Amino acid sequence: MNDEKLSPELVWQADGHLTDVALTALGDGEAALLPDGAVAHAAGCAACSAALGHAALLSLRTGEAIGEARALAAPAPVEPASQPAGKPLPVAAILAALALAALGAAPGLIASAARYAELRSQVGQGLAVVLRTGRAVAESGAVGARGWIAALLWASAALLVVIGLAVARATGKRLSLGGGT
Amino acid sequence: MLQTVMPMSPRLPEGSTAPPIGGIAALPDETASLRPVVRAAIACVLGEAFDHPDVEDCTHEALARALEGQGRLRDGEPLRPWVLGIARHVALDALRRRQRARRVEGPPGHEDAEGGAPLDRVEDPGPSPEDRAALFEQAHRLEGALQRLADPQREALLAFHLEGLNYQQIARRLDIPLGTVATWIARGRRSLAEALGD
Repeated sequence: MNDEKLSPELVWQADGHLTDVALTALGDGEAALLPDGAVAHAAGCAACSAALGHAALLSLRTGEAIGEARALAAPAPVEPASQPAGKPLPVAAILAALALAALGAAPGLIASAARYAELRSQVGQGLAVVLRTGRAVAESGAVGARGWIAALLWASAALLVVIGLAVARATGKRLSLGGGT
Repeated sequence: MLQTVMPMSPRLPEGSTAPPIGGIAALPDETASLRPVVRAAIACVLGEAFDHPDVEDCTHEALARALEGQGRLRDGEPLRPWVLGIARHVALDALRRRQRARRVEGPPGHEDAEGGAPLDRVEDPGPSPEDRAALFEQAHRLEGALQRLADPQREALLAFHLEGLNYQQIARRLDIPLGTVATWIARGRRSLAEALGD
């Protein structure tokens, strides 16, 4: 079954205006299916032109809504896995990257090793000085001979050292905050 | 009268489908043939008679934009909905210009009272969460309405809107008279419009 045109009773109302079916077809771009005079009538009749506009916008809106609804209902596309199972690791590339990283870090590592040895030497020397000083103090008999007065001297000395350290620390922070001068 | 960027062209006799764009003689016939329906759609959006000057201006601008932008039409994309979409956009722009003009012409302070804070008037280009929720709700209602249609009627509508088949191709596929296809599509679309609240 393949008619060329819509039948007149489907196109024209009794009052001479176009039917909803004809206006829908016209709004859908099917003007070729309408009999002679229908398109001209729709273009010249205010009522049919208004109805044609409504039909065309409804066609547009329905098409958009169906497309959106189908797009929302469709399952989201599955992204392929970034590392497919069974694919071998790029060992050569990883080794090359590691070698390059080691080469870049070598100067820093060597400098750090030198600084560590220097620090260890300084700590050793400081410890030896403290031990020698302590031994000298112990051998002098100052603590035992002067009793509590000697202990007070040692305590006040320690307190001075602590206060000095605290002042130095606070001053250092303030200077740093003030611009590093 | 709306201000449009396109030059005016002489109006055509009613029913004529000759190229109406001034200075653009090579308007493709297919786009030119859409002039009556474009004009009717614009009149519908503007709420004016089809022979209103604003309708004529917007029709002119929409067809000119369609003609100039036909290179952006994707392969296989139907021309008619694309041009109608442009027409709707042009008409809505014209409506907004009208509203702005009315606010400017209103009494002092009227604009602020209607427009609210400046930040409130800045448009967000993306859909808001409410818009997305409304879209899902609408899709749900539309699917429900589609499922309530008879199978061949639904098939005819989907073939037209999703596959881009014309009435005759649908009639051949479903082996039904052309008039039945037209009737099904008209009635089915009305049912969907009711479901969408249009």
